[in-house]
Amino acid sequence: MLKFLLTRIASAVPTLLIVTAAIFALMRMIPGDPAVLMLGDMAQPGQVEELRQRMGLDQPLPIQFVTWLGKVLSGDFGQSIATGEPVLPLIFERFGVSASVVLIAVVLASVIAVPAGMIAAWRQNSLGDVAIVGTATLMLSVPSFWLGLMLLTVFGLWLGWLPVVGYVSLADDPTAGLLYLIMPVLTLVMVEAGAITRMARASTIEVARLEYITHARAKGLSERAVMWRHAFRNAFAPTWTLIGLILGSLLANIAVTETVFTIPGLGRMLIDGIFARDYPVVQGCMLFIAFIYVAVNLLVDLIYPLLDPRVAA
Amino acid sequence: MKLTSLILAAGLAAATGAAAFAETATEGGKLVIRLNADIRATDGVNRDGNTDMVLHHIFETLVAYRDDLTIGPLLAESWTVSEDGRVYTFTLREGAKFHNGAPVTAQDVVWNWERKVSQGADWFCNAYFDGSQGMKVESVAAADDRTVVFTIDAPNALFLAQLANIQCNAWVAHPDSVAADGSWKAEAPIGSGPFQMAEWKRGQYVELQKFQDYVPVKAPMSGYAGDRSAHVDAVRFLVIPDTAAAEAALYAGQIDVLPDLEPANIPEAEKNGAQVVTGQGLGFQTVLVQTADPLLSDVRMRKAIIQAIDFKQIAELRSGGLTGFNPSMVAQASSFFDEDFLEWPAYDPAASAALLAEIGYKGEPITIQTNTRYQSMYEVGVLVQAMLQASGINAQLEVLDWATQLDNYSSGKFQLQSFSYSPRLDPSLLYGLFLGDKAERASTQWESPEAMQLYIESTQTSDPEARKALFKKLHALLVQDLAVMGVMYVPQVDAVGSAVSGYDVWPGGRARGWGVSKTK
Repeated sequence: MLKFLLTRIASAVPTLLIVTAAIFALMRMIPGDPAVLMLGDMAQPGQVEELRQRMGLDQPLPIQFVTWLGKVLSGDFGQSIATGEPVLPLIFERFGVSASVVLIAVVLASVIAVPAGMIAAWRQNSLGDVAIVGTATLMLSVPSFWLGLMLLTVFGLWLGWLPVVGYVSLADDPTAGLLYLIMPVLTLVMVEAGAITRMARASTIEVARLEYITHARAKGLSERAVMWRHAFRNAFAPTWTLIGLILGSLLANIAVTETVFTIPGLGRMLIDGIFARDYPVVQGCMLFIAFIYVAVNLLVDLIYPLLDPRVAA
Repeated sequence: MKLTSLILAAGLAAATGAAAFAETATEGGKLVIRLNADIRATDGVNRDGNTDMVLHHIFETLVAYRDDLTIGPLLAESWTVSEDGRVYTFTLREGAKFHNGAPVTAQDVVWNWERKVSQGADWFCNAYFDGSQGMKVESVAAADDRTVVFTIDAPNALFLAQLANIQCNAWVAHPDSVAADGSWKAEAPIGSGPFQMAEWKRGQYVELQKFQDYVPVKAPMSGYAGDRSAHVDAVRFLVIPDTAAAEAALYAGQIDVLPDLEPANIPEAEKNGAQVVTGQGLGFQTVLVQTADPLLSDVRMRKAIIQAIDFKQIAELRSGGLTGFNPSMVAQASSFFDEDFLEWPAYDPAASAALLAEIGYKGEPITIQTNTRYQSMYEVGVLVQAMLQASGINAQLEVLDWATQLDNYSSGKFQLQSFSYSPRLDPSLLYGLFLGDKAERASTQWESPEAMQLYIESTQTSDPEARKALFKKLHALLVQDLAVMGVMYVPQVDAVGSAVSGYDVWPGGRARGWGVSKTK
């Protein structure tokens, strides 16, 4: 197990290094100058060049990259070009906001979708199966921004049950915080539950066809016992991987939901950073997201053998 | 954005009434104003439009723009100018206090000025005062506690205008806004305005509280000048990046003021019970022409393009009929404006075709750069392309992201660009932006030594009539050179909740929380 863990951690290092180089290169390849954006149409002659110098953007790219990487390795992600704030504390603050939304959403989506997918598989081709698969497909097809706006219109505007804009941290006020989280979490749950349901169904169907399930039935076990005691662990293993991937990707892709619901999370910070060509913010966010992605998938891999012992072997 | 607006519109059409989640409106109360992005800082140096808007509630400049774009009193209740036009003596408002209770003194004005100037190019307005663009402030001194004296090197019509310049943030802060190490206290700046900083929750909102001891200047509220008394207990600037969500929040009663409503959305806003306040604006919508381009360097080609575009129709469509076409650098809102500034080659596709034939135009492509971040720029770009194509000009639309387009503008890499300028409150400031030498500044749009001379004269002449005459000469030259295609000055359109009274727009374009009440 320790060897497995060390191997996985060691393999993550080059991944992160490649990611840092790719992020840096991509940001510099996009046209648009942060100094020009900072000054806008108010720029005076010479001011743009002076600002670029102060930002270090006049240095050759390899020097900029090495300087940045060196600082990152010592825990200094630099300062935001737009606001002058240090990037790393900003990332932690915003990540906390995004993580609260994403974690609740993924847990809820899993709790709903995994049993739904397994039930659909167990009753394959029944009316229930068709209904579950149809609903899951519909949810998969709905863009999150559209769903978010519909929820906002219905529950925020028509019914007036929920706040349309604003955000309250769960740490500051748990009750109000939950109220503000309902719609964004619901949006993510509805979108992600579709994928999880379909994966849970597909893997359960596969497991249900295996001989050991037939053997369990032959022993005279009830269908419920067969499903939960024998089929669940093996059927859940591939779904678990998908949940890990969803968790990682949601942290990166939550920007649309955060924008619609005015949540001050990491995704919105990243998008704002891209529009402003705020290199330190974008590079810091992307690197952090890549790290989280690797960490989540490492965690998934470590838990996987508990679900499917063949992997550890 | 179109899709999201449609979805929301469909939802709103079915709504029978906006259910209010927000607290019940009361006398006093809290005014909630939408910001489309967070402010950058509170020092007035690292700034953008949102930052300026918020900070001008906390701080006050000596003088400020009125509704009619003349200069009025604010922190200075009066001022005199010496006969030679070089010495400005300001008398500070009696009873003016900082939020910490300290009186505002002339020494504070001097301290602020020296701090701003010491920041060099960080404070971009330094260029307006350090002689690099003509005007130089030679000294600033406190004659007594309430009298401050500015001496400039030569008479300049723009001195007061630049002191009042919203973007310059040449306001007066208490020295305790700066920590012992010289850094600015971003969370606790101390000004003398009608509101004081309560909380800045980054990425979420800036909340200001009414300053109870505020003593206004004895002049009626007008623009950013005059009486700035607050009637609400607090103003919250709430960050809502998505416009559709901001509109929904207004209709649900969760925000009170939605600045910059799209004119096309006015009927929807009114249907949902919002009040729509409109007025003339100063944001200049243009179609920029790269006169250094081989094809477009020929003034006849530029004229053919202009004659192929129905600018009046574009202005009518884009503004919802709230304003008309204006090709000049003198806005309808300006006291200098009259009909002479509308002179421009008329829309005449036949004449355009004849001119194209005379030039020998053979369908060479002309690219119009635009972006989707700013709806007005995008729509103007699309309309211009359609009109040019209808007249046989091979116009191509290139949709870029805003950062890329701005970079191209800055480096002059374009043929045509649909572009908007932020408000300049004096015509000279706009002329100064366009005129110059492309070799020195690539974003220069108009190279004309003769026009440059007139522009310089306009900055040195104080008499309004003489300045107007100079602006007319400048416009006549622009009609001759056709170096910039002005479309219109984007009108101010703000939507406010039904509980709000006393809210109005002004040409400066920034929302104001003073003078506004909330009622049940």
